[in-house]
Amino acid sequence: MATDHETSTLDARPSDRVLAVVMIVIATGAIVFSRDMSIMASVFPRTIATLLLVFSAALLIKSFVVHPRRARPEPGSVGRRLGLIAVMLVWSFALKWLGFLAASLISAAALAVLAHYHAWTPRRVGGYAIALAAIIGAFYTLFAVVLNVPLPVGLLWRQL
Amino acid sequence: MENLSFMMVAFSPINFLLAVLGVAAGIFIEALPGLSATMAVAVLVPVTFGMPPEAALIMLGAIYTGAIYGGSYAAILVNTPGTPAAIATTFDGYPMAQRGDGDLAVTLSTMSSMVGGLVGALALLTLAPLLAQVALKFGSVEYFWLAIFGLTLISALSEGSALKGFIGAGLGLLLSTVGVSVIGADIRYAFGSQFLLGGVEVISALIGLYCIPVLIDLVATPSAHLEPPEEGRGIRFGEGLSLMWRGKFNALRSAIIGTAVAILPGAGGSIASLVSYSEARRTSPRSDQFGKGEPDGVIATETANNATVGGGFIPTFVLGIPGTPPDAVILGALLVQGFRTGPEMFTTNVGVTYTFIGGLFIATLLMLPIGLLIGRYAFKSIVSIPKALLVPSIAFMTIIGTYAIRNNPFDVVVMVVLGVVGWVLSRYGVKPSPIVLGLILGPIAEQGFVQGYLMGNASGSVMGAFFGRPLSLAIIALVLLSVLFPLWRAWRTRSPKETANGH
Repeated sequence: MATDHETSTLDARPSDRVLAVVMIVIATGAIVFSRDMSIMASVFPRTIATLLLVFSAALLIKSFVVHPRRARPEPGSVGRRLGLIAVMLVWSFALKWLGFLAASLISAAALAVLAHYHAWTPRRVGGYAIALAAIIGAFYTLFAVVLNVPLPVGLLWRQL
Repeated sequence: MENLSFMMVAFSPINFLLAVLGVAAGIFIEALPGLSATMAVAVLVPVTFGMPPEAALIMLGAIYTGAIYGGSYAAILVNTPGTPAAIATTFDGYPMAQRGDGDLAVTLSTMSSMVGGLVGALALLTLAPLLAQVALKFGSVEYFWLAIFGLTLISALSEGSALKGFIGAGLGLLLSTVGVSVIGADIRYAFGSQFLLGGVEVISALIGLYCIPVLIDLVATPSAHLEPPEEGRGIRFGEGLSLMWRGKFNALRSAIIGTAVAILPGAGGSIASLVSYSEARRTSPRSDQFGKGEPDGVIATETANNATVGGGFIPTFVLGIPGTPPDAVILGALLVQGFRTGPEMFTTNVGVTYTFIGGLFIATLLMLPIGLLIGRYAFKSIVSIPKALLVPSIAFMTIIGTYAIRNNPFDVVVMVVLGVVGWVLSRYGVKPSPIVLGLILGPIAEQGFVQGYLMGNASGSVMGAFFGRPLSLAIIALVLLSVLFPLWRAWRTRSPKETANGH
């Protein structure tokens, strides 16, 4: 029968092995790509990459020798998580093309849909739209007008 | 006397207003479910870039002060600590709320936070200049070892496996080498991209690493909302004051513990509040009441966690090694403002430093009226903000804040990518703090390392350059202690189990 400890944690061996292998690849890559650098520029990243290699190898060996456990990750919707990552990535790339305001309004609306779990009523849609537009408008004004940050207008609108 | 006049600059109307806004913003963000004090500071750092350095620092210090305190509302009223530093506050705060004394617990928490904050700020004012005198004796090699000490300590003390902490720190250090090298001006790991020539921008990275994982987890469930608490009876100021007077030695002891723990780089408010809670219980004549709604429990934890604010700034300013994760964010902001931390903060930049300390005192005092008012009248509305508004608003602040640092859309892409990487690594047990610290301390560590290497080559002994000076050896001893301590701790926790299994 599973104990409380076992149900609240997971076997960490597979994830530790994946982490160790990825880090070994990164450390090895850092050493390989430092070959063309001067000694002064390469001595520090090489030393750090070597240490990273040692720590990762230790983690790999540890995963075979002992049975480490890790906290169970927070549960929840994978689809919504991936959706948020996709929206944030598209948002960051769209700034240049759509401009800051348009990209932000569209992406913020998409995130509101992703974060909302209840039924949409016309009143709720209107209320949230006004609140989001006000928040975005306030911060846009703060940065663009008060702090004088040149926020991108959008290449697309310039071409039209 | 001159230092006092610098402190008085903090009382200018604009600085005072910024302190008010900072404390209120910190409390507001921290009272929101799922958001930490580190995130509160990170997401608001870019707002301060257009300000003069002292005003920016005052606002950041005020946000941090407000945020550490703001975590106590949810801990007391709904048994959910808003920040790890408020975990121990739930032990007695929530039982107090259950028996109808939630409002009194909030008042006690506000008063205790103010006392702790004042003691921490006083320690910063008196101890930091003395330590800066010692730091003047440090050479480049000592700074290298200090950076390594900060990294090993934060890796060892951060939650989870120390080995994964070291891996995170190594990854952060490697990330700091991307772009043009500190010494030699070689282009490293840019892979032909002109955007990577400038390296990974520190503030973008820490906004990504601290904020994006929170957003990813916020959208995953509908349930992170807190149930609004029951209506309280009022502020109960007089009762709070008499309980504070009764617990004055407890408050003072907890504030000293909080300050001392925060001076140790890497150990934050959660350790400080847990240590002071156990001390308060050990020494109290009512120790059997702890965990059942004992006001001294709330006083101990809340005094200690706010004392870490001033205490944590001591290693941040004097050595350039952040005492707590929010200090790491403020250190990053200082670098962007063009400051080099270390003894210079008490020589060349003494005006900015003392104005900031003055601002910290103001922010701490302001916490009492602002905190009591928000706790009494606004907390219920804050926790009721729907996620469909919260998530896009925070996401927008991360995007606009990151863009504003260098007016560069590529920094926004880097922020989002690092945030996603940080979220994945966090699920594999690598927490963001060691990565962020590696990124911040990387250039300092590299400069010290390469200079030591060159000096060693010139004198014919590289080992002698790194291990030959007594100051270096003292710091190396601390590094070894910080590496060996988690191993000893793991061995100690394992051996009783093995003994039990053996029998």
